Amino acid sequence: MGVSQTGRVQQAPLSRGVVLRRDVLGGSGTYRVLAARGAVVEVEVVEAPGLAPGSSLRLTAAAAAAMLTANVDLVDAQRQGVRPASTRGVRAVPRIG
Amino acid sequence: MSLEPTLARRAAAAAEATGEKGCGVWSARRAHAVEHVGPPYHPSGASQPAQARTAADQFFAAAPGTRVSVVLPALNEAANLPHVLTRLPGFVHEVVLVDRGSIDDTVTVARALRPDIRVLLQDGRGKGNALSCGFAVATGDIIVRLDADGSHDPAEIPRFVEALLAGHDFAKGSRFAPGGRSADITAVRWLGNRTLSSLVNLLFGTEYSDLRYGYSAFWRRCLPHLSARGAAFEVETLINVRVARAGLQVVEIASIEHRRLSGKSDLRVVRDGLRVLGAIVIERLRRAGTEPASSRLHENPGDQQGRR
Repeated sequence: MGVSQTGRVQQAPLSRGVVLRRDVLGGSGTYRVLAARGAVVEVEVVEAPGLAPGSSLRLTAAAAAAMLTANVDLVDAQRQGVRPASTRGVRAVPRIG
Repeated sequence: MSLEPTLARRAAAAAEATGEKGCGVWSARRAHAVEHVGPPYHPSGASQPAQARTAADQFFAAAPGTRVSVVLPALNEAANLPHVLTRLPGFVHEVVLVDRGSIDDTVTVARALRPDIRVLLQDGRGKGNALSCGFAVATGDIIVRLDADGSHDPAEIPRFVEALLAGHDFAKGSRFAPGGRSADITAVRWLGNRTLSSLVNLLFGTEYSDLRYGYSAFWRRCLPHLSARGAAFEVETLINVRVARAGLQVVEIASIEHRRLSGKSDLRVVRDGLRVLGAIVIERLRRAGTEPASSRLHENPGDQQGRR
């Protein structure tokens, strides 16, 4: 989850194109990294409740680094309305070693 | 609030009609009885089962003039707000977001999701200041205080409101009441909370099961007793203690705390725990009826100067 043993969120290299997923209150939001500038990361909304897909927004780098990385193929398939063969394609990948 | 007795009677009648029970009910001064609430409330929306309509639903259908405000202190919550704001019950008439100096698109996202949202910039420091700013400008008869980080589920709001409509002054969430739980607490934090809760119960004659949980709702007339403007980490404790000292009728609502992204180290927890302990001792030593200068609500809060 990008959270160290001391509980502090660590920074991860967030390169362009990386897809991040945030699970909150039983729902999830998916974002694609557009650019990382210091403490702020600009992302494109792939899917999030109430937000238009394709719109961009800024997140803190700490919040972005603490998200899960998502399976890009699955996200694209969902975006195009294709039902994936497996729902286990989105996986929790520790972003920090 | 001459309206309130009528509201309470209607809510009680509605609750009786639906066979619902109260939950963890007691006066903050002296315990009466502890009952437990029924199954969790399902949020309004497409996924809501037909049988999930509650006394609050029935009440608001009958008395649409009752206004409920939600106050959300927020610091860099752009990724969480879509999940929080879209789960607010339909009867919420006003949302006040108190921005604590976010560097991300918290405010932009909030406005995109809810164009009628009121956005304030807190005019001081600390969570207590942010809450005081939000409480002071909220216009609802009932004010709900909710965290914007996704740890508090807005779908639980109707249960808090129901408790107020049933006649209580202050409804506080509890992760440790039957039916409540936390996905975001460590053993050290649990032990600290337990110890501090016991201390407050001993010193102030309360029966709090969870001192350090912020999810709560109250009638607007309770505001003078809830201020903790200068407080930071100890804000929840101070509010709960001051509510008890004021002799308000308190009810605990079983609540589920969801996991948040950022955590605190146990070292920080110990330091903050000591700060809370200090606040409890000072509050105990303070003479009844005196109000610390740092806790007064602003007459003209950040709504004007800080409003974005």
